[in-house]
Amino acid sequence: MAYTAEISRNSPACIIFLIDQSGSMEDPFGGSEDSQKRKADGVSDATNRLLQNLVIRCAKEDGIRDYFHTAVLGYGDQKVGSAFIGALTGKELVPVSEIGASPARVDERIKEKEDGAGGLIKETVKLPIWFEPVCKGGTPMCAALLKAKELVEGWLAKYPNGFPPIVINITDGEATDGDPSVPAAELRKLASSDGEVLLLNLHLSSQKATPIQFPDNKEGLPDEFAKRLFDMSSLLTPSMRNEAQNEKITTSDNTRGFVFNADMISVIKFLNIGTRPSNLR
Amino acid sequence: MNTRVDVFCTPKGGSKSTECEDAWFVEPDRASSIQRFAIADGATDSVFSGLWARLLVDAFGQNMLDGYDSYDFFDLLSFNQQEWQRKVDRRGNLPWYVEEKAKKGAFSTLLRLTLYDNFYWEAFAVGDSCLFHVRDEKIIERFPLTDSSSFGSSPFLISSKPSSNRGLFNKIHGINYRWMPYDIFYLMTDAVACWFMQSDERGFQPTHLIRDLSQRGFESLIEMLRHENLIRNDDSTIIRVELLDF
Repeated sequence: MAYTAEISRNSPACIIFLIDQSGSMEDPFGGSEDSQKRKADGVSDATNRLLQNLVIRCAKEDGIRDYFHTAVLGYGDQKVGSAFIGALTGKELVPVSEIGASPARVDERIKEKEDGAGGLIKETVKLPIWFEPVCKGGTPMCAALLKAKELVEGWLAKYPNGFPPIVINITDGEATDGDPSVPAAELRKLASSDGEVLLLNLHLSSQKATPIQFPDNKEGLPDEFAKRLFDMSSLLTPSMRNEAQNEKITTSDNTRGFVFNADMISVIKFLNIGTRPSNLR
Repeated sequence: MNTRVDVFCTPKGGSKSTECEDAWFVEPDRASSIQRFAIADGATDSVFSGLWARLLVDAFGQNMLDGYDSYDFFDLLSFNQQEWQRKVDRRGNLPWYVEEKAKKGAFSTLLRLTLYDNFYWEAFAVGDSCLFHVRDEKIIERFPLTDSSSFGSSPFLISSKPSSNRGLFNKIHGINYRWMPYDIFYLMTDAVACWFMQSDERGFQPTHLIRDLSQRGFESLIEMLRHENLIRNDDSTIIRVELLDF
């Protein structure tokens, strides 16, 4: 059965983030209550939270288990390259332990949560930051997808039988270097013996439309960019759909890895690295 | 009542033995009229899981309870949740990712078997660590799971955080029955339990394979099963308890 290869330190999985850092990301982010928030803020928040969740998922008391190797490629201003800052500047695929050890800084925020007795308590939450918002230049999404294809080909040469690579594209969808559907289709044709590469798209829009997570059809998607990104997205795998069920997300055979103006953190929960208690929230 | 007890354990392939998150307790007095055995499997997806599994087996292995549906059970659980938190807090200066993950608590299965010299036995379990009662090489009882298709990757587990144990009472399974001399009980964590059940369902009589195991033999068996993709790669533990003649 496809997409059942073990994800472990001996057989890690690869996750590549493509983050849109183009000038159009300066526009307001429709998915936020805060009118000052731009799409670029939405991108950096989404990427920082995804990496945070990935690191925490791999964390044990004696260190971070390298179940994943991760790259974050920014695209904008006519170029595509590693978007890491600080100690990881210029690095492409790195083990997740290096990411966990090297945030550019760790912010602290106070969060309220229920104390289980009907009251609220304040809790300090640590928020590691690897990226700051960037918005400049055009949107070379095709070039970004081709660069991702290059990294994936290199990965598959080393791990031909592992869990297939996952590429997560975070964008407002307005490519300026051609039709991204073409390189997206080429990327999705690559495969390990366990299945084809998974391309997931997180669409951030200036439109204040209802957030949508993992739809199974294009109806209700607010614009042409959303519809194109939906078509570019891989179907969720059967095991991802099982995990989605545990997260109370309804899916069907046609559900795609596409999210509109919402977060994609649940995707990290969908990846099976061992026993995950049903009562862990 | 006399028992012969062996414990076999091997960590997940690719991991060090110190990273093994299975824990066990065996009755130290093998001639005692009441003997308790416990096994626990700490969840991969939480931190300090091995610590939590060890606290659970030591607590529930050493303590007589009126029953798992009694206040004793939840009092003992509460005491050990606080003990887990104390031990974690004593570590201090945790990296940000361990600190954040520790807030969600640790999770583990728990299976306890109690043998009485009046030929009765009882057990309780949370999660998918399994008990097999074997007589004359045949499995006559499987608990709490009864077929291999029941194993999944998201069982309900006991948490070191009270807020994550809502509904725990309904997830504790119990059983009691009778034993005879020369019966064997096996307590197993899920990967090896699933293989054992599947193998039996297919008619391969796995009881023969594990009847006279040594630790080295167990390690070789698990390595072979992993190589053949017949068993999930995970920490694997068996406690074997054989009832000897009086």
